[in-house]
This record gives sequence, C-alpha cells and structure tokens, in this order.
Amino acid sequence: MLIPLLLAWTPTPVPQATPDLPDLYALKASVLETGTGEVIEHAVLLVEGGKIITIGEDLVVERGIPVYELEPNQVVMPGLVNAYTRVGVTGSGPNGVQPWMHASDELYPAAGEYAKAREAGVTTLGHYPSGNGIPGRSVVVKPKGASASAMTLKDDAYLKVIMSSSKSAKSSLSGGFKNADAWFEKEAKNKEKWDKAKEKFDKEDDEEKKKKLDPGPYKPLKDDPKATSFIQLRDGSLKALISVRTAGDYLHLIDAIGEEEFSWDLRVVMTRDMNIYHVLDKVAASGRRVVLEPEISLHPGTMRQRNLPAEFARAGTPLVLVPRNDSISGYEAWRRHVGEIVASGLERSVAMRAITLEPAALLGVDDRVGSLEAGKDANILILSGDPLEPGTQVDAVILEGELVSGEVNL
Amino acid sequence: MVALATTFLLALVVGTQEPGTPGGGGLALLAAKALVAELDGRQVVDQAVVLVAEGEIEDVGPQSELEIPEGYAVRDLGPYWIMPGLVDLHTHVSGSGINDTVYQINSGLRVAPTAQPANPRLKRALAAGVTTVLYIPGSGSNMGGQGILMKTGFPEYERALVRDPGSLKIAQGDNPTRWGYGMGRLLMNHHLRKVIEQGLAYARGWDAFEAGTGEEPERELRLDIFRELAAHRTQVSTHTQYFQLVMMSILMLARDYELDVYIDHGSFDSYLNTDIALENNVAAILGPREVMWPSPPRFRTDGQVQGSAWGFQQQGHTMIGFNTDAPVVPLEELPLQAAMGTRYGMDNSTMQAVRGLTIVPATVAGIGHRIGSLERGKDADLVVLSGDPADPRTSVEQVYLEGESVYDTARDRRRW
Amino acid sequence: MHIQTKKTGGSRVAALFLPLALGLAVPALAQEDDEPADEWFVLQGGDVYTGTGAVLRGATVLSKNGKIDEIGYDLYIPEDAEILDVAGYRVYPGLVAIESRGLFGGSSDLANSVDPFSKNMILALSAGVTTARSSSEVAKLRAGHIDGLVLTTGVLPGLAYSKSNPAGKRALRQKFEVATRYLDDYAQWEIDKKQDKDLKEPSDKGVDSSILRYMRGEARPVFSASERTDLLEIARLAQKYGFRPIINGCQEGWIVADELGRAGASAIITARDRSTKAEQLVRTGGSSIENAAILHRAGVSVTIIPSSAGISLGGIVGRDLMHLTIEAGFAVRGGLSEKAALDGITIEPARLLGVESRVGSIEIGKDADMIVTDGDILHYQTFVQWAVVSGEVVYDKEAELFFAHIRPRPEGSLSPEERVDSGEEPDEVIEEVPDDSGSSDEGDGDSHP
Repeated sequence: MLIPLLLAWTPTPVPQATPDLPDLYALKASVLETGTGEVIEHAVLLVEGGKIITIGEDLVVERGIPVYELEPNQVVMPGLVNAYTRVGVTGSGPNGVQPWMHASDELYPAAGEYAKAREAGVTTLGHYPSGNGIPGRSVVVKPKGASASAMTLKDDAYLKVIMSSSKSAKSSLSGGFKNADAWFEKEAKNKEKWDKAKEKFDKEDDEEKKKKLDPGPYKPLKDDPKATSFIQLRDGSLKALISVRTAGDYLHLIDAIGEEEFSWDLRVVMTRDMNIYHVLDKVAASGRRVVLEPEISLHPGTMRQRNLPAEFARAGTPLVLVPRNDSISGYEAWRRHVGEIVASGLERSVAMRAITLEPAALLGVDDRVGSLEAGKDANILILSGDPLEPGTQVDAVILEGELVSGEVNL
Repeated sequence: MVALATTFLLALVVGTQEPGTPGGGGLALLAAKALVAELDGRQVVDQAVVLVAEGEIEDVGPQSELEIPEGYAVRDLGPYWIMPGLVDLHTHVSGSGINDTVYQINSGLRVAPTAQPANPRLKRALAAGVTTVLYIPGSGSNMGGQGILMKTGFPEYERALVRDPGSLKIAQGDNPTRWGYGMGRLLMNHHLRKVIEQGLAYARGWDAFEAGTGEEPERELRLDIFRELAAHRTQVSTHTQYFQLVMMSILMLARDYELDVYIDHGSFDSYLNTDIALENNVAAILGPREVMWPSPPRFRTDGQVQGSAWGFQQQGHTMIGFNTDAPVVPLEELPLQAAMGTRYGMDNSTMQAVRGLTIVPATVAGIGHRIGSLERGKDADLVVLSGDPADPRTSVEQVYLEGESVYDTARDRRRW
Repeated sequence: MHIQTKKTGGSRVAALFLPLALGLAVPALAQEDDEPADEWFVLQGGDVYTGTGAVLRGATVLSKNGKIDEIGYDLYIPEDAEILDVAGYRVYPGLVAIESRGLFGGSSDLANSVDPFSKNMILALSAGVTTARSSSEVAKLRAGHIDGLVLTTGVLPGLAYSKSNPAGKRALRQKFEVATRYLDDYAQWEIDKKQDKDLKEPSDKGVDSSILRYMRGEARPVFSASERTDLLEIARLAQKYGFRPIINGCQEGWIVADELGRAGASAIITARDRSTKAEQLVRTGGSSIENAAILHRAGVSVTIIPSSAGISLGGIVGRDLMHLTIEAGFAVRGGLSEKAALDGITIEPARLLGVESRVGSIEIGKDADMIVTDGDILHYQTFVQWAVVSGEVVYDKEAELFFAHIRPRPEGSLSPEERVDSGEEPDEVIEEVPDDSGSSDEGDGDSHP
C-alpha cells in the first residue's frame, strides 16, 4: 500500500530505491518451483527475519501478516546459484600451484556487477581464484553487503584445480599429496623426538639433570602451506573442483589421483568438438557432480548434435549448470539457454535443480540456499512466467528476505 | 645408278628402322593380358597379341584367333600385360612456363614456346607409363592461357606435339583471388564472360567472312583461341573445385557458352554438381586431392572420408579420370591417383580405374580418336607392365611411343 | 613359433557339470575373489600371416592378458573369452612405424601426456599401425587407455655424419679411436690384474659412453646419410670398429650395397625418394626405385617409412603414415620381395627399436597386437577391419565414421548398439550452423580461465 504512494512522491527520475519489505510477510503464488524438483501450486511462502519459515500449498496465513499476492502468470523459484564465476572480481592470477591462496582476498563489495547480478536473479555466487594449475580456494558470496565478511557465506568452498594431460599438471596433484605425506612424516618424527625426550625426562630421577632435560610442552610443526591443502582434502575439511577439457584429461586425472580418496567434483570445459562422451560411463559411475554449460555440442567431424548435459544427467550424474559466458549478459541469458537444452532433451526438473540446489550443494551452502525450504535463506525470484522460457523477465528478487530488485504488490 | 643407290639407301633406312615404327615393318607383341580399355566396349583380352605397324595399332585379339601376318617381328612379353599409354590432363612439368599474372585474362598466351620435351622430370613419368600429357599454365590467373597436348618420350618438339592448342586453361577460385589487391569471384566471372563473349563474337565474324557473308575481321591474337573453341577443336580445362565454383564452371562455360569443358580438380564437395555435369556433358578429371576429409561446417560428410571419384560415381557419373597436377603430385604417381580413387570408394568392378587413366582423359581432351585405347588405327603408345596398373607394386617394363621403344628396363636403367 | 593343436577341453567341462548335477557347489575352479580374472581374447578362423614365414589358413589366435598364448587349430577356448570371428579375413602383425608425428596427441613423456582418444591415433590404427616411435619413446596405439602404452624410451639417438661437415666426421672418428684405445687398455688390464691385483682400472674419462655402447654391441648408432661417399665411409667405420650401423635415408645405398651388406648395416628407406645425381659426375648416382631391393639382396636389413611421418588431412593421399603399405608397395615395384616388404613395416622396425621381443610378428609370448584385413595387406584396396592392441579391439572400421561407408562389411556384422557412440542418428542432423559465440574458451576475457 505504501509503495505506490512513495512512487508518486518522486516526479523526477531518480534510481528507485527498492521498497522495503516488512520483517514478516507471506507470498502467494500460483506456481512455485522449490529447487528440489518439486513444484507447488497455489503456494504460500512465509518469510521472517530473512528466512523461510514455512512453505506449502494453500496454507492459511495468520491475520495481520502482510500477504503479497502475485499475478497468476508469475512463477516463484529460488534465487539462482552460480558455482563458478568471476563476475564481481577482477584481476588475473599467476599460473602454478598455490593452493593456499584465497579468492576471498579479491572481494570488492562495491563492484557494480553485483547489482546487475541481483537483477538477473543470481543470489549466490561462487568466486574462484583466477589462474591455471591449482590457484587456490573459492569463496561463496551473496551479491550484497557492505564488507567482504558481510557478503561471505562461506570461505574455502572448494579448491580449484585445472587438470590437463601433462606431467606437470598431474604431479601438481599427486605431488601435493606427497607433500602431505612428507609433512606427516616430519611431524611424526618431530613427535617421536619429543616423545623420546619426554621419556628420558620422566625416567631421570636427579632433579638437576631433570631440569635440563625438560622438553617443555609439545610444539607441533608449523604448517607447510604446500601440504596443508592436501591434508585438508584428505580429512574432508576441503573439497576440490577439478576442470578437464577432454576425455584423455579425465583419464590422466584419475591416474594422478591414484589411490587417494577425497571429495571432488568435475567441471568440463565446453569446446566445439567435445570428446568427453568417451568417459561418460566412468564419470557417472564415480558419482561426482559435473559442471557444464547449457550448450549443444557437435559430435567431432560431423554436424550431429549432442546434448552432453542431458547425456550426463541420463547416466545418473548430478548436474550443475553455469552460464555460457561469465558475464552479466551471460547471467541474463542463463535461464533461456538452460531452456534451450531442456527443449533438446534435458529433463526439466534436473535443469531447475542444476541452477539452484545442486550448485549450492557443490559449494557446501545447501543448508542455507539453493531451494525454497523451511529454515533456508529467503532468496526468492519472482518471474513473469516459466523460468526457462525466452522472454520471461525477472519481476522481483528477494535476497535474505529483502527486496533488492523489482517490485512486489500487496 | 642413281636409282640403285637410292634403293640401296632406302633399303638401309628400312633395315635400320625398328619394327612397328613407320617404315620398319610390322611388330607383334604377345602379352598375357591386354587392357584394351575401349570407352564402351572390350576391356580385356587374355593371352593377347597386339599388331603394330607404321606407328599405329593394327589390331588386337586373342593369340588363338588373331593371326600374325608374315614378316612381322614377334616379341613375346611372357607374363606381362600390355595397355595404352597413360594420359594426364593437368601437368606443369613439361616446361618452364607456369604463371603469368600480370593480367588476369591471358587468352592469347601459350605455353608451347616454353615446352621442354623429354626433360628430366618427364623421364621418370615415361618410365611409369605416362605417355601423353596436357601441359598447361598454372592457376595464378583467371584465364592462364593455352596448353598443349604432347607426348612425354620424344625429344623433338614436332614429334612430341599432339595438338596445339591443347586447351584453354581457366582457373576459378582461390589462386586468382590472391592477385594484386585481391580479386573476388564477381570480378573473375565478369572477366571471363567478357572475354568469352568477345571471343565468340570474333569467331562468328571469321566464320561469316569464310562463308562469304561478312567482311574480314581484324586479326586479334588473343581471341584466336575462341575460334578453336567455337569449332570444338579444343576444350576448356578448368581448375575448379568446391561446389559453388564447379557449378559456376559448368553453368557458365558449358551451358551458357556451349564450350567443351571438363573439370580439372573436382575435389571436396564438387561431386554434388554431378547432375548438371551430366546434363552439360562435363567430365571430371580428378586430382591431386583424391579425398575430402570431414571438416564441418564447410565440408559436411557426417564424419566420412569421401573420395572424389566415389562422390562423382555415386551420383551417377561415368566419365571419371585422374590427374596429378604435377609437380604437386609427381607425374609418375598418376597410377597411384587412380589407386587412391579406388581405395576410397570408387567401384572398379568394370575397370573404371584403367579407363580413367587412358581413354576417358583422351576422349575428353578430344584426342580419343588416336590415343587412349588399344584399338585399330590409334597411335601405338603402349605400356608393358607386370600387372594391375594402379597397383604401386606393378612395375613398368617397356614403353612404346608410336611403335618406337622409348623405354626398356632390359636395356635402360630402371628409372621408376 | 610352434603350432599347437589341442582337443577342446571337454573333460574339464564335464568335471564342472558333475558336481552341479549333484547339487553341490561348484568347486573353486574360478579364481580367488581378490585376484583379477584372466582376460582371454580370440581371433577365430582367419588366415594368419604370422610374419615368421608361416601362414595358417582358417586358424585361431588365442591371447591371454594381452599376450599371444596359442596359435593353431581346435584350440581350447575358455568360457568367458571374447571371441571375434574373422573367417574370410586375414590376420597380420600390427604394423610398426619407426617414425611418427602427432599420433599420440601429447609431447614427450607419453605416459603422462597421451591423448588416448586422439583422432590421429584412430586414423593410424585404421591403416594398421599399432606401434610407433614418437621422438625418443616407442609406444603402442592403445586407444582408450593411458596405461600399458610405452614400450621403451631413449631410442635411436642420431649421429651426424655428412661430407658437408668434415670436422664433425673427424671428431667422430676421434671418439672411436679413443674408445678403441680404452677398450684395448681395459682388456689388457683384465689380463694383467690377475698378476697384480692392485693394478688400477684404466680411466674411462674422456671416453664417449654412447660410443662405448656401440662398440660393445649394446646399441646401434643411427646415421642420416644418403650420399655415396658418406655411406662408404660409414660402412668402413663400421667394419673397423665392429658395430652395425643404422642408416636413415640411404638413397644412394644401392650403389654401395655390397659394402653396406658387409658392414651389417640396416637401412631406413623411403622407396619413393627421388634425387637426381649431380650433373658433373660421370658415375651412377641419385636415387633408385630399386634401392630397397638391391640393399636387401646384399644383406642389408630394410625398414620402410613413408615420406611424411604424420597424418595428412589435406586431401592429397598416399604419402603419409596412413599409407605405409603403399610405400612398401613401391619398394616391391623396385624388386623387393613381398615378404621383405612386409617385414620392412613389421619386424625390422621392431628390431631397430629394440622391441622385437614384444611386437612385429604373431608369435607365442609376444603382445597380442594384430590387424585384421579384408585382403592382401599390400593391396591398395585393402582396409583394416579391426585392430587389436594388447588383446583388445581398439579399432573397428564399421564402428568409426571415417571409412564405414567404403565397401562395408556384410550385413549383421555389427549391431547398432555396438557402434561407436556418436550421439543422435544421422536423420536428425541439424542444418544450421550453431552459434559460435556461445562457446567459452579458456583464456578469453569474460570466460573462465
């Protein structure tokens, strides 16, 4: 009610401050995509303090709670999650093995791109460090915040690894684990040394001599940055996102990993002629997620179309889709491109999940974002129609309960 | 006294002439197999005898049927085969002239003065059995000039010459576009139309004059070739490949101007024009590329490696020949071109490969009445070899040009 | 090579059935759970050209874990063996390319850089090549795998020896002299030290270690030479210092074939090499198509390579690695026997590369690297139908898109499911060119590095 009045007060065109939503309110929509694959009709969504309190079909809303009833054509879905992007951060990184570097160090909250990202409906961004080799750890942010820490949802979301068919790339991975081994050995020796000294100290009866032998409290070895990341991979406190281009790269990757067990997901760089289909079954059997762009590729040497996202999905691989171009125009075209490959055979529910819950899970923030479920952040997109149809606009974007773009009417 | 001396001299001369050559008496060659290579008839005669006299083929038939006339020298070739000399319609190794690119239209230029008969580059080719070549200018200019048909094994120009003008060489696409500031296909085709129309008008003028119905036109050296073309005494050999260019060649030159034309590269997706080629009587002399690799989006073969000969044959063409564009492919590897055409899909069940090396190019170049098959009255250009001519393993043992032995591994060192 | 004929293992099979019939558990004839089962592969019913001189018609080749186990008739075939019926086809040893370029997709250190799905590897397999040298490594064309590839490394270092570099020649002769002296001293020392146990071993300082290996017969030097005088000098050097040279090029070898034969030389030849002799020379010179034949008759072992060691995709065909057999055909033209020509692309290059114990012929104990062809392998129309490397089919002409349309195998030889995964059926081929601007490449401004 207040909003149209506010608008009437400003005759000159000034950038509209998006009107504030109350702390507690309800949204009513004819169609709501939860992000888990479930679609709710006549949905009611209750938001308080920036979180989703309840969500369901035809729920009764307590009197006094403002209800925003959406147009019958409008569709509600979770905010988009881009797991692999540098929109908002600039600069190039060196090539090499620097797993201790943090993309979070590059955050610049005032970057103009974030406002545009919000307008395009992207509410969670996974920034990766730039550079080849193993350039460092990614950070998950929301596209709004006064400071880097205010923006950050999670640091060290994944370790970025670029794998290729070469000894240097393979040994950056296998060598890293060897560094971890070496550090453990050194640490063990260090402990052994202290243990022996302690033993000697304990055994010694003579007070004078005992003082001299006191080894003091145990001082663990300083962390070796070259080893730390790999120790963390091993103990599960860090995961990796590994990029390959070809099927051969994938085989070399598996060879480099060898017997090591750690959590990682796969990203396949999209090129015109892709031969990753050679290892599709192997990838599917591994259970790792695959990050792809929503694009049709050509079977090499022919004009035969291959819908690789669909092929992976059909084989059972959890699918994550990122925009074709890492740019604001790419963000804006994202849903439409996803719609294209759905039309070419990708299952729709898989596609919706691939731009919401699955990337959130890859980033390790699926407890907070990625779907419209009770307890999660109220990151909500209101669209003028089917999210995957070309021509559908983003009518409004709600980030942690706040309206950050567009408008909703009571 | 004079008469006696003359007779004596004559006898001497006759006595030292080789059998089979003019004045040398008759020659009968016995071969295990004769590849007759008629255009539409006999292909093979087993246990054959080839009768040669006065530099021409007198007859070919099975030894059991064809009688050898009295006095003929008999050469038993044992297990060897005999076939007509090979013909290559796209070569640049008979002389030093290749490209004159000052102008793009050179209808008056002729390679004939640059010819070097029996030069070293031709020696190996002769040893491979290539006896007749069309020596043409290169493709650096749109209309390169006039080529000549000549035999490879005679060192004297007059004896080597088969026909001048052998052809009018036209090159469409690629190479001429690199000329000067660059030239596009629009201008190239315009040039061609302009000069052809001028030339045909010139030819009509002379025809009228000779028929008595017109005034004597002014002589223009650069347009004389069109009189030959209009009278179908010579042909246009076109360096042309790719679908659009070949289509242009056929429609403009053959259909619109009714010239005798043949395709002289025909690579890549040229074969898609087979229907209009057949309508306009345009043959496909293929080489040096005998194969198209898949490279979408331009050349879409759905992943297949497609032979040019396969392509044309698939679409219904039967006048398919092979060339080397020597020195791009060495002239002595002409038979290998036929082997590759066969390997990559051309059906060879009725000996298309042999004909594609002999009678097809000969006919297409308008010399099929004297060259290209073992038929009565044709030049005795013969190749004696150990088997299938396309097979690289086959060796050529002897070569005859108009009955004269110009290469014999028993006498000369084996050159190829 | 020994030919085995065996009864089918009928008795063994009966032993299995009996306990089953009695309702008892099958005795542990199967392998232990933690041991990987043996992998058996069978080429059944083809005409096997072993490369040793023997041809077995309608025979069977059985391979176990990638090695040839048996060759013959009525072989016992284990139940879980993969059988490929090749009746009516010929089985040859896989061809060995003594030089190759661009087949493996990677640079040196193939084990870590090979592209096992590289198009050039498939094309080389389609032409019958199953082993190739890539700079200093010799590797199998084991499409689809990155292990079990490299056979050996550090092969064929070259020695420069050319009349255009007389200083280099002198330096080389010097090295041999020094090495000879060292070896003489060493031999003397071995005798003398029996008397005087404290006698110091002669120092090998300044002695070229490769030269020593050549003189000891541990390795063979490779020379690149084609000119008659150079070849003669190499032959004399070889006879003087007791090594067997490998000569790359050897174009004028036919002129000095006897000398080269006496020197025990091996020649790596391109049959179609052409060079004309220098005009001013009176004696014979230049190349000859009969080079391979003449050298072979003089006792020089002949290996054949085409003029281009890579795969040519330009459209002019017949002179690259895909046409190795054509080059061999031209050597036959010059008089080389067909057997020697086939040896020249199989066992001879294997010997020069030091891998003859593994590849180059079909013999028990060697790797199961074989090709199945639809005819005489030296005929220009013959295609490789299947290529087997380490006991596994790594190439099938019908399953790949390249040549399946050329003289296809008779109906029913390959089910649609067995075809190489090529996505959608051809009748759904899209006519428009897809929008190129969509794809993101590494290194572009906006896209992901």
